[in-house]
Amino acid sequence: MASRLADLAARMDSINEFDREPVAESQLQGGARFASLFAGEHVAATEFVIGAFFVIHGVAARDLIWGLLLGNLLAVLSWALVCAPIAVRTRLTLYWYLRRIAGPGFMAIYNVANAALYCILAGAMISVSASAIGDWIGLPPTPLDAVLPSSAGWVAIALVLGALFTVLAILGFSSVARFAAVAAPWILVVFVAGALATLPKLGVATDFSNLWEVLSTRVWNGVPVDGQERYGFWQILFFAWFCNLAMHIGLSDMALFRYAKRPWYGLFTATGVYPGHFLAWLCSGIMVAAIGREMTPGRMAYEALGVAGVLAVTLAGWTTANPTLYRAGLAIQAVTPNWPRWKITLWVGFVTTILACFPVFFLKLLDYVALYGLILMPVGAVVFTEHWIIPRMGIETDPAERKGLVVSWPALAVWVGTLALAWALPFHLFYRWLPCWVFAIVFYAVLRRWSR
Amino acid sequence: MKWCAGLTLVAATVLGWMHFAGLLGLETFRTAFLVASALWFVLAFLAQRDKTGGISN
Repeated sequence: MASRLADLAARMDSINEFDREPVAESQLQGGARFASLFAGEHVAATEFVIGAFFVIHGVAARDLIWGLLLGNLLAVLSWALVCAPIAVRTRLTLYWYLRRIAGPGFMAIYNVANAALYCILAGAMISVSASAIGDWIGLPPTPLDAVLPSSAGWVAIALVLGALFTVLAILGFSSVARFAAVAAPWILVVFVAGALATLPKLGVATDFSNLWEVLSTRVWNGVPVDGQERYGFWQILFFAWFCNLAMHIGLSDMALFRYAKRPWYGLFTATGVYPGHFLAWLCSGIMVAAIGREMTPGRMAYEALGVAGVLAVTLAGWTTANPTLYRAGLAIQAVTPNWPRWKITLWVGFVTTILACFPVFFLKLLDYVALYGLILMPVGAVVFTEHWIIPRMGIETDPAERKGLVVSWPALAVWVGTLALAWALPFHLFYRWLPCWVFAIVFYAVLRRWSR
Repeated sequence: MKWCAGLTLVAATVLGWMHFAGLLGLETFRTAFLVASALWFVLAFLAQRDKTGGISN
């Protein structure tokens, strides 16, 4: 087992070799660069679904606005106070820093978990695109509690789109990434113009005199769709906070912030989260209210903007699935010896396409986003503790590197133990990560003291 | 070129506003929005051709 992990680790190291050294002083980037980098980061296909789900879950208008404002603020502060400072001090990616702390074998396990989660996320994105086309050509809407595909037509569209996205990814990730960079500001305009064009249908007067009344009675009226749980202020606040948990508390964005001159550049994430996770969510909520609160992203966008709306949802699904397929492929590269890049992408795309046939992944997107962050969060807690707390306890840091360990058992025990606690906690799924993060920090510190 | 491309997005948003204000019918708005979108992609790609460098993630 240990030799197998060491073998995998050697292959992962070669994949990430170019990132091994800390970022040099000359490569550091200014604040404006980060502001523009994040500006298009959080406007994706998921925004069509998430904002609509808040309406379906019967959030009240005031709860939504305050919950999103504060939740996004907490997310921005998590980037600025947790992720960016560690990245700026180490100038390393999470991969290489975690390797020193927890060992290469731990990294292999982390990569496989990451790849599986990315595949599900990419599958959900393809489902969103498939639903847009399905709605447009008149397929019956998928029920909110559906797990299996509702028709052969749905399966056919998901398979065709999945195959197409995979082929395009094989032909060139970077070309699609360039296309995505161009599409991102347009997709934000689609949200804003779509919501504006929808307001007359909801009865909003042209002088906005009844805007609040319409929004609070016809859009976010506090009444959930039958069979759906009602969400309030705290669920919204926590959702906005944790929807990028793997990136800030989970420290994935160390890859970006290692280039930052100052740790407070984490605040520049606000240029992305407020347009994407505030404005776009509000706009998609307005659009879904105008079609009778049905979870049909394609119909929602078509009613607002016509063919451009359907194109926007389809393209957003594609441009979001593309980097997700890329990351999944990169993560899985370690366990596929000597496979060329196209073959890895083909298999990742195949698995993702099969997952896309099951609408459950996009219909349960809010819960999936919570689980995704929760599963990777303990790894961030381990790194946080090792960086800030262990030196203050008078214990030497980076145990795996110093002792030549393949796997740091305290780190692995914390990961497993925290997930077990998260499963057992009697709280709403959205609230579990915070006590679990505190638990992971304390548990890791105790184990490190004990195994000293 | 970058500024011209940006203007198409501003125009697309203004079109939404004009429909809201009752100055544009639904079909006219949808067609005009589609045209503005197509223009954005053409101009933005042209503007992007010279762009290089960045942060590797």
